[in-house]
Amino acid sequence: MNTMIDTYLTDALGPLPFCPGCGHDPLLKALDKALVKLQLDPKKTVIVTDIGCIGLADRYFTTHGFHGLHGRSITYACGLKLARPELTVIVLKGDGGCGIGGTHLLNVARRNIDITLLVANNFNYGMTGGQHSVSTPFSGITATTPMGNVEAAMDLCGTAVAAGASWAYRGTTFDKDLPDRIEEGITQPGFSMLDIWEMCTAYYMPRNQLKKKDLVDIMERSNFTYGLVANNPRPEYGAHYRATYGATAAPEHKQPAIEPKFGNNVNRQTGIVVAGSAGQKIISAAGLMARASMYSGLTVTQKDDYPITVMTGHSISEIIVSPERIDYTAIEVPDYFILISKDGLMKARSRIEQLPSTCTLYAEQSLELPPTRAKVIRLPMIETAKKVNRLSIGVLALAAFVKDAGLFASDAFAEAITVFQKPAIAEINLRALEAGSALIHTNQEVKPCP
Amino acid sequence: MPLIITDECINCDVCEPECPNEAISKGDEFFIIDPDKCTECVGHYETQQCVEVCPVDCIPPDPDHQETQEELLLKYERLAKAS
Amino acid sequence: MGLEFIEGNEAIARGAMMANCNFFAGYPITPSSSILQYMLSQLPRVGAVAIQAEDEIASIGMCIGAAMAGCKVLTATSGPGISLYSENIGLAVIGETPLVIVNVQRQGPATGAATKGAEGDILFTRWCTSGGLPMIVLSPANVAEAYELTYRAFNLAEQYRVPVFLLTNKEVSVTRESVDLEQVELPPLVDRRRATMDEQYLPYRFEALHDVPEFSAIGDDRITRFTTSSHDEAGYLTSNPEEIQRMIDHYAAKVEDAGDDIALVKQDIESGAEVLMISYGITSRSVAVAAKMMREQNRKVSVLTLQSLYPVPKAAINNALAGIKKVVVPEMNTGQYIQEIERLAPTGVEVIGVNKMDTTLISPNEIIQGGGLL
Repeated sequence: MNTMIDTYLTDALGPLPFCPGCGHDPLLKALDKALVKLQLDPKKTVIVTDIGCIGLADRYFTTHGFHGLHGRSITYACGLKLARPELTVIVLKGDGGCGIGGTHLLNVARRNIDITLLVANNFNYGMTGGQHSVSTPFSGITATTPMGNVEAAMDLCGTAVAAGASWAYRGTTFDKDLPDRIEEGITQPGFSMLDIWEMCTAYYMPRNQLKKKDLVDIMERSNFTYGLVANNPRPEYGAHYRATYGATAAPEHKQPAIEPKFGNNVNRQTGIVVAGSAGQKIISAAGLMARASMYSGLTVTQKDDYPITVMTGHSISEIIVSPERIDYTAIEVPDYFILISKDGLMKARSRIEQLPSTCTLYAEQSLELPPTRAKVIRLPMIETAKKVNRLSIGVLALAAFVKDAGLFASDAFAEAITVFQKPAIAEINLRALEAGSALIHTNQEVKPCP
Repeated sequence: MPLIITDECINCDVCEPECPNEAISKGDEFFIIDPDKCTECVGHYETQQCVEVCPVDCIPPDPDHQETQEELLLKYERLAKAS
Repeated sequence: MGLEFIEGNEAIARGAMMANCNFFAGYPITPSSSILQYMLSQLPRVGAVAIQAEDEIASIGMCIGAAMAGCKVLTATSGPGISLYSENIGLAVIGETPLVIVNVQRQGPATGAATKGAEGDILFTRWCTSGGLPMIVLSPANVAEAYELTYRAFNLAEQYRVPVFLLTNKEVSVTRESVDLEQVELPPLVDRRRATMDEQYLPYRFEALHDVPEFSAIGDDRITRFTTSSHDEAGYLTSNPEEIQRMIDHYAAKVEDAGDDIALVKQDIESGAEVLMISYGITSRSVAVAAKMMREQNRKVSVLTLQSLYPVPKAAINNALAGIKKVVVPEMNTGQYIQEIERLAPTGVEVIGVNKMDTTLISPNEIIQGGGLL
């Protein structure tokens, strides 16, 4: 049996707790009338309240209630709505909450998430003693503006509309049609807000001798629209998001599993440093080499260092390979150092100066190296890369290193490139692999896979 | 004289229960005082109860119904006898 | 899955998906942004929402709203973001909201060095909100643990209806490792206990202080209230001292009484050892090497690795302290968790911190030298 709901207000907690004459009272009663007109299911309705006297409101309704932090009511409302689109989400916030929560007002308007915001605007922070807020009229007297407010009042509707609000209305608690306007706001498919002006009979009204008719006068003096401020329907965020990014999106691209199939010559934790420039695909080349070592049965870690402005400056990757678990992931004394560019040199200069004789340094031949005890092998990396593809210099340099050091087979590197790169890029990198290997004339035997 | 509620009234409903003579009721636009029932609380209290609680001070004396203290007291007694 | 080459942040995202996470809200911040990116690529595919909010406060606010609507929620940030999350973390405590928060620590304070690791937020994460109530904080040391502990964090959040922190470090989150996540053993999935009683639903009803209230989502059939104010079992405001104290004791008991169940430690106790090394996170891996170096020199040493930092796993720590004369606590900060150890160590036990906060890892040699271990 479906009975009509004749009110969404409960008297289980007694009458509404506001000061005599407080505008929150008629505002909530107007909201109740709107809910009655809509006959919403209370179980699918949630009232989210901000902090302030208006924050006392949610418990007086028979819907779900959510009372959160000051200024953040819109954020909870958005989370609720995005999680359960079937909910009707109504936010009750004061002018105070619009100040501290300003960015959330801008962004819910900009996104057009389907919640309805009712601002109980009485020009001050009532609950804390009547301090001024972002909506206090110019020259208004409040606890914190005793000589008169010298700040301009924020046009809450105008601000939200500038941020993209699709429906905004300004009225007062004395408007007879307020319930109808609230009903209209709730039924709008996107974000809707009502800036509802009221009397604070405890503070703002007595301090400023405010009369009923002054509300509309202030609107006119401030050049704020009384009535419908904007009605610009556009797609609602949640629906649009689901349609664009939803389950119809492309299927997950899973990385292929790596099965060790090659051998290696590594019998202890070995540190390899690659230093080049941003844009040379150092990180990507190092990652491929890391995978090559995994194909060769090794454990590997990779750490990258680059300036926060990613397209410029140095790019340094540190790869550690080991037959066992790798615990300490810093390379204090590199076993191998591959130096590809001037940016890499500038960043790693002091490190290169400190390389011991046990380290082999593969350096781009045009670079002017500082004194170092490392064994230096000069290679025409830039020249050779130009013949293949400028962007393949990382793979090329590492290919030379792999061939020379013989830690694992170049075939493993080829496998990683083929499996993990798109065919067009893999083709280039395989040529780079060949060209890099060709720079080395010795033949290191790599132990076959056990 | 009895009191009158002006159009400054914000319909807050605080005065109505305070009136010992039940002279206040909801009007079309705002609350109204029945001049036949208002004794300005003479006979009940020292001060006018509705005026004391009104947050917007919208209950002045009614210029169209001027009565003296004695007339108000007589009205009080008449109303008391009737109830 | 098989053998893969992935970073800690990807493992975290996949651990969350494994736990059936179905809402993410976050804000880009190095070094956690790739978690936001992964969740944006994963969640819409299963009909769920991942959103980049306008700031960290909105991120955690949306998460709390979604969690109370029934979602399993994740958010991720770094130190500066936890600062912004602070008030809302308190809201999750008082509202008994299941929530998983990843803090990928970086060098601080303030903006510090965004691309460098550190462990400066240990105490901060524990004491990050007004009120001082206990928090659950987990700390992974490698990519496989990042996956496992994220999944466990969800289980803990659901079981106890609390915010749970996964406290990691750039060094774990943005380092790629060869790993086979299929080999990681995961416990059974836990979901919050839903309300079953037919009579008037009380959103915060409990009997024993550590009992977890049954959950009913906003949008489900039982009208429910959520409030940031001190409240009673029905979710109504109260100023009654007895009721308020009972609630405070309840928030504390939920976590503290479950200390033994929450504790996750790895013990390597060497009989007769008089030196104990206690560590967590990436530094525990340097400790492992230092222990090996000591044993190669025939020096006995016990090692305790903490995967859960809070509540402090007192039983395991006290057990490891038996017979110990010197405790070494290496940390990539100026000495934070060491305070918890000092509190537990019996008088006469030497507690030594090995501390560095210069963006580089603490090396095994630094631990040996700093601890006077060889």
